[in-house]
Amino acid sequence: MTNSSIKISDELLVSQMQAALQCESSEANTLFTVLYKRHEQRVRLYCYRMLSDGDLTRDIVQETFVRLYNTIAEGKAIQNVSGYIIRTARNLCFNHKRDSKHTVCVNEVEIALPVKSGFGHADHEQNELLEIIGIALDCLDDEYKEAFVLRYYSEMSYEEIGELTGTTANNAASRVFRAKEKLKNILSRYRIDIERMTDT
Amino acid sequence: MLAQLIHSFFDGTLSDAQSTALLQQVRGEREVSEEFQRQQTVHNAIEADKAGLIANSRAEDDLEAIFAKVQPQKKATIPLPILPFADAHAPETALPTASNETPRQAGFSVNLAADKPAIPQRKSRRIMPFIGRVALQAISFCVVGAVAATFGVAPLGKQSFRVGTNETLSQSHTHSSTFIDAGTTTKEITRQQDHFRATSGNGANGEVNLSSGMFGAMQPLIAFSQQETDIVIPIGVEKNERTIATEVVSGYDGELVQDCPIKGAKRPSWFLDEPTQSYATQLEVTKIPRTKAVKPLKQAFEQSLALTARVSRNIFPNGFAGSVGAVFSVSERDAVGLEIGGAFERPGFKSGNQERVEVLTPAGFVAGMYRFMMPVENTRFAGFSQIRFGVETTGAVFAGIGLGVQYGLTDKITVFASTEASRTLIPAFSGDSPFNAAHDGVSLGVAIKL
Repeated sequence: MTNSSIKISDELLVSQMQAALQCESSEANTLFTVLYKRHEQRVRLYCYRMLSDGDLTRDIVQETFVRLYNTIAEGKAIQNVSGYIIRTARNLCFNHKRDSKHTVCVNEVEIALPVKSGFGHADHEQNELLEIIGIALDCLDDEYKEAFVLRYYSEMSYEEIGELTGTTANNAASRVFRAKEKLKNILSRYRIDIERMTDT
Repeated sequence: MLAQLIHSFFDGTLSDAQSTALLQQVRGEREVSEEFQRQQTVHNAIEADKAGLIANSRAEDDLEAIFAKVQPQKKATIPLPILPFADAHAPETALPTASNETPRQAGFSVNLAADKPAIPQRKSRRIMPFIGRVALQAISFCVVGAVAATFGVAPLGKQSFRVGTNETLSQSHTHSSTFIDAGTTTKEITRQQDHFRATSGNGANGEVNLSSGMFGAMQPLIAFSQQETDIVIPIGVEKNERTIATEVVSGYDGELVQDCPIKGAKRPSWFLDEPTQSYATQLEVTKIPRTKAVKPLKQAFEQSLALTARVSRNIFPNGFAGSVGAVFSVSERDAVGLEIGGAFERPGFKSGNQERVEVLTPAGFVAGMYRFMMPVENTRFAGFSQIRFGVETTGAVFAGIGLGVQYGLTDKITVFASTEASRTLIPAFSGDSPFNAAHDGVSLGVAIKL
């Protein structure tokens, strides 16, 4: 592996991995690592912003890729690897939300933040601002929040978002815009802090 | 409209010309500039958020965890020690010192149950009442089995004994045997792995694999009972010595002699350490016909359909019931059936805390049944346990469990008696009162095999 394997498509990687698994070759793990590194970040960001829980996010990311590995090992064909991964993660997130029955509903945010040490920043002020972003996202309706996260965190196109969420691309774009408008209003009062944070 | 345009700019969906025009507007117009900055704040926040999350992601640890999940480590197995050849005349009791540990002790020191996987704790669910009934059913199975074994009808008891014996042997990889040499009997201790060679006085000689369990041990015994008896006599052994050997064996209560399925018939056995030694070729065979045919231990099972008729005396509520049905024997242990019948009971109505009983009322029912059979080998008796699900013409759905015993009068006709307790699953409403279909009773019936 392999710079060449990094450039090839996901589907080709999967077929190569299946061939390697049949030969019980260690190359399969290498190919899977490539797949993981390609898609891990957007899955993680999506899960974190949908669930707002770091440990749970790690669990779901692991479970998502375990399922991917098992599907590949079973020899099943995956037409759209990227879509498969994000759909699996989405289903797992929804399953968890359904089972936990935990919802956050804040319409107007006058945020008194609990400062968590989840972001790894030494600067508490910066941690606080990142918490603000998370809580602002939690203030959105689920469908707007998901469209926004898929667009700007997972960097998916509107067509992909529409296909994943079962709506049209135009509808997905509309949801993203509305979510952004609401976020803009919430975050406007922290504009100076955010700009200072991004400058640093 | 302006916000939408700026949103499109940040979204990357504007053309270059449109982007240039927008940026000029941002520089020139304050309102556009403010909107632009507000949206830029959102994007900056997102980028900062993403950077913070990625920096703290521990992606490599997750990858290792994924590989650990998809490629679980193989169970660590403790290899059994390869026991050295042991002198047949070695003492049975081993020396207690660790440095001079005997193979027998080494064999016992292996803990075969060390790698049992942890059983995950299951969540308690609303199915617990049903599980309670299943547990009750399992207990009833045990009771019937114990009764059958106690009264000695016995293949159950014997097989249990054999299983215990074989497990002991296969775990320890060591067994004691009786070595008989031309009229002299000497109890020796031999140590062998996994198999021994048995040369039987009745011709059932061959390798018996200890690890094959009950059926492996049964095989030579069945052959013994179904074939004519051969006695293998070493050449050169005087007749009187052979007679002495047989008498000595007949009087010996070794474990293999006890296993003989024919009451009172002792089975002499010789065990040879080396199956390839030339001694084995110097044998001649004398055939002695058996005087009494032995019934096979077990008859072959055939699937069959039987019509049944049953009458019940219900203790609660007070009444009678009768039914006809069909029972199909799927396997030796499993049977399914369907019953159609009627009950003359005094139905109970329950409203709040008040319960009242009506006059004797007829009601029909249809019920499906699963029956778990527990045949007692070499007898015509069989215990059974059954569950029934049914619906009455009143609309009430009921389920019950029962325990019974049956006796085959002939090959075709079987009578049975059972006791059953049913409870209402879905009550039927009569006015505003639910109709209760629960009943406890005993039944007598007859089944005719087609």
